[in-house]
Amino acid sequence: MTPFVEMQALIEAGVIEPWDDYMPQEVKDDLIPSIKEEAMFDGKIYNWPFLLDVVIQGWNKEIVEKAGLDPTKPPANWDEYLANARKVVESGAAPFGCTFDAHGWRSLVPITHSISTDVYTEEGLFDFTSDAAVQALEIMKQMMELANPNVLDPGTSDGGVNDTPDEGAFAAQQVAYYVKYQNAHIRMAATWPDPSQLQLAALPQAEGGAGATVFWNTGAALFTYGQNKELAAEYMKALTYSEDVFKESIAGGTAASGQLPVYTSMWEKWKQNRLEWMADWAFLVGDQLPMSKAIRTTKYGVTQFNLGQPHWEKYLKGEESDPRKAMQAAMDAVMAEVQKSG
Amino acid sequence: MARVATRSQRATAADAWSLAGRLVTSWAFLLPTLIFFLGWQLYPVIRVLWLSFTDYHYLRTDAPVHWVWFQNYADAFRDPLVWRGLLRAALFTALFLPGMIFIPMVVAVLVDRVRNPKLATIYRVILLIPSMIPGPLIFVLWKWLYSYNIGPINYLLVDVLGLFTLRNAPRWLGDPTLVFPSLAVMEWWWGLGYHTMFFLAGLATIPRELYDAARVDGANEWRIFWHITFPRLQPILLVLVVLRFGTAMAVIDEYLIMGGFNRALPTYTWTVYMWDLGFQLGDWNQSYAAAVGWIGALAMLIVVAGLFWLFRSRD
Amino acid sequence: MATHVKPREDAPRLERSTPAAPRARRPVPWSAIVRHAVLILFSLAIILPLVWVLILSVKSLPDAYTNRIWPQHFDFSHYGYALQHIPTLPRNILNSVIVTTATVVITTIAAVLAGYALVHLSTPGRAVVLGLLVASMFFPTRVTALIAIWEIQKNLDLLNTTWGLIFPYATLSLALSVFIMRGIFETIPRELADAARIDGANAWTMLWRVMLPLVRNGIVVVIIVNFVTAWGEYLLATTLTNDQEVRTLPVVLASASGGMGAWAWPRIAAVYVMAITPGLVAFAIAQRWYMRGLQEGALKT
Repeated sequence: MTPFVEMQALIEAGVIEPWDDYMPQEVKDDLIPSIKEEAMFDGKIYNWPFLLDVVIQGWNKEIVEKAGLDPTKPPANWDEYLANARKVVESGAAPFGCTFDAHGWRSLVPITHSISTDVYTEEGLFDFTSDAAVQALEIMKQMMELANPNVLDPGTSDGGVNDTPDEGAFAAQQVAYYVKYQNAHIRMAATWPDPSQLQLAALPQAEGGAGATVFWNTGAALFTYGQNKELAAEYMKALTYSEDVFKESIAGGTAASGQLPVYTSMWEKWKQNRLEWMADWAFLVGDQLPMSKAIRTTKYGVTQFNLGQPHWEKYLKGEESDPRKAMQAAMDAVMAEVQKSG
Repeated sequence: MARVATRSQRATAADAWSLAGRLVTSWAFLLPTLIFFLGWQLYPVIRVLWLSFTDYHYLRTDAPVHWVWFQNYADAFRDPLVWRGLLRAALFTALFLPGMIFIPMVVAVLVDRVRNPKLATIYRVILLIPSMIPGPLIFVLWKWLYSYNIGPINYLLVDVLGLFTLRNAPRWLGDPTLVFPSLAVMEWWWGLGYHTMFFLAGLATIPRELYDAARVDGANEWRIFWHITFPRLQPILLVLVVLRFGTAMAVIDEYLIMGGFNRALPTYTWTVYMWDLGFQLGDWNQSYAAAVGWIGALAMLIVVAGLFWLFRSRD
Repeated sequence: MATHVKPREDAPRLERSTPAAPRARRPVPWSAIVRHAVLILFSLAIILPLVWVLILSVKSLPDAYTNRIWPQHFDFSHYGYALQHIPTLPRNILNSVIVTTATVVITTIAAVLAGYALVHLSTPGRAVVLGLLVASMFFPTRVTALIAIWEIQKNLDLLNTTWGLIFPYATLSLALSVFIMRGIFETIPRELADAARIDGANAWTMLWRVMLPLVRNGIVVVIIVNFVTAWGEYLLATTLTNDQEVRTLPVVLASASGGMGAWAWPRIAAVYVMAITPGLVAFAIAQRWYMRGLQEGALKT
């Protein structure tokens, strides 16, 4: 279960119950605050977080170097990011400069969060019309000029959500810079002849921006009609504190599944005493957590982006010249559906 | 049909079996079929019809359910997504049907003329291979073939033939104008062998003497096909048109896997809309989804009835 | 059918053996050349994509993500890797086998019994049954009934269970299967049934002893039709199940890139090859009866 995707629907359907009675207090206190907030609904913890995704940037060092740029230095802000990507294309180092995943929660919202995280309506819906969101859309438009031409096409599995065009381009080493959750970079780079050419960093900042990003957890829900709930809690605790699991996740090559600790104590322990299999990217991702923000849990967590996408894409495709109008149309589409479907 | 029934009734009258005995025995044989058919086909269809007259939302667990008569249907008639969804499905059907019917017919005529029995079998077996591959795996295969960045089709067009560059190559499954033709080609590939077999079965019933007589009269191959073969394949042709019309209008798996829920895309048809409404959007408005499902079904039935009428008037 | 084939084979032979002057140039058989050229082209169009998958399944990872067709490095480890590193994979294969076997057995038995009853038992009320079955074939039941099927499964506590899928699966090709069997049973003369009945055979022994051997080819067709349906079903499986452990192989494969690193293309391709091979092998074995069954009457419906 991923909170912003399906948690509220499961709660309303009465299928799941909170972990509160089964999760030990010390575990509750150990959860990283931003993650704990994401796992909660109506003041109760419904999600025992397990797999972690954080949207960051990554690049192909070989291509960046070929373009005459410093392959170890992350572009500090979006202007630099775009300038670097342009240089990659113009120098012919790769056919495309940068790419992203067109799904809102993987590009529009993270880029928005890098500017501001105060972009949600009272009901918890993403406010497409906020200044930060509009600015993010303008950044995406500039990225698109340097991206693979199929960047807005749907993916070819899981309802268009996965196997997206950006992955193919990054895996085939056709593009230098890439914004998505860490797991995508690692997975695609694992197919390169030399996977160590991958470098990851926090998302570029915006001038005076929040410098945040988006993360989400996929965790375990407690089924109301399930049995052995105490045992389930014990198992979850053991699993989420197990270093072996993290070792497989962090150092397991292409099988890396993106599982990272969700507890403050684990990160502190690792920082004091770094284990040999630890990868830099794990700390990078861990450092993002305190300041990043999950998409708010509502019944429209994912569908608001399905609904809005055709409208904001009109600006990206050049069918609408005013980004504000495009975003207003996206917001209207979501609100219309909220009124209709409750 | 009616004649056959009377004959067998007369035959059974002579039997020792009483009507009651026959009822019990014969319905016992039908029982397994009926249990499954009634339980998981007929009842659900009727239950969906019933739901479509209520305001049932699955996630509104506490709210009472009301009978709203035709409110959902009235809403649906005003809902542009329903119309667009039906139109999109119809567009795909129009692209899908000709290739699904005529290519197999031509291939069947060609295979039918292969005189070497071994070769004829080999052709048949090869053509039937795709029909043995499960649907989702057909889609996985073709999404690879169509891949913009690393698929073999664009490799051919960009790297080998040099017709396109990586900037302007066809986005087979992503381009709104290309996605339906691309999916149609995939379906043709999948269905070619299976449909060829239907036509081969039809061709096998045409007496060879008809062809010989026509040849003696000096008719060329084209005239033979047009005047002898084609009229005799027409019944099969019409049955296939009706069956495949049903398939094409109600396609959903392909769209769910490869299309997504972006309403601007052509793959967001009435079937996907129904699924989206019933299992994903908001409070899961399953009553409205049910109405959309029935509207789609009724639209299809009207066309099928029309096809049958056409088919009857020609006999 | 044999009676049709005979003259056809004779006809070309006659043409060929027409005594022509030995020196005369034999006319170039253009129509045969074109015919075979077209058929070979279609055959290649079918085989080449599958060969491509086979090659993909043994490409090294970097080769798989360039568009080159022939790899620079082969890597045969993907098969083992997929089985080891995709923890649910053996389970998914087993799920598919269980659901498919059960569906094929249930539907085939139901269809044989029903086809027999509809043709040889002069069942009272069979017109209604037939009418309903025919109507269901022209109705998009699969899509329209989905919401209620979901509800039934929920009420029976079968949501998110593998074996619960068997019930809706058994009906997917049921109408078609009954029709196929009915077509086949109609090829058996009623006189045979009457004769057996006079000999004192009851309905059951007549089916078991007399009819079954005669409808064997039709049963093969029904088995294959249901095998393909159940082995490849997607919509119900994706709607009625949630957890990867309870899902069937095609569903897992179709959503194989849900973020898991083990699902690199060549590894999916390896699973792909493993997933289609059973069907193709079974088809290769049963192909002869299948073709005969199709010709005998399965396609007359």
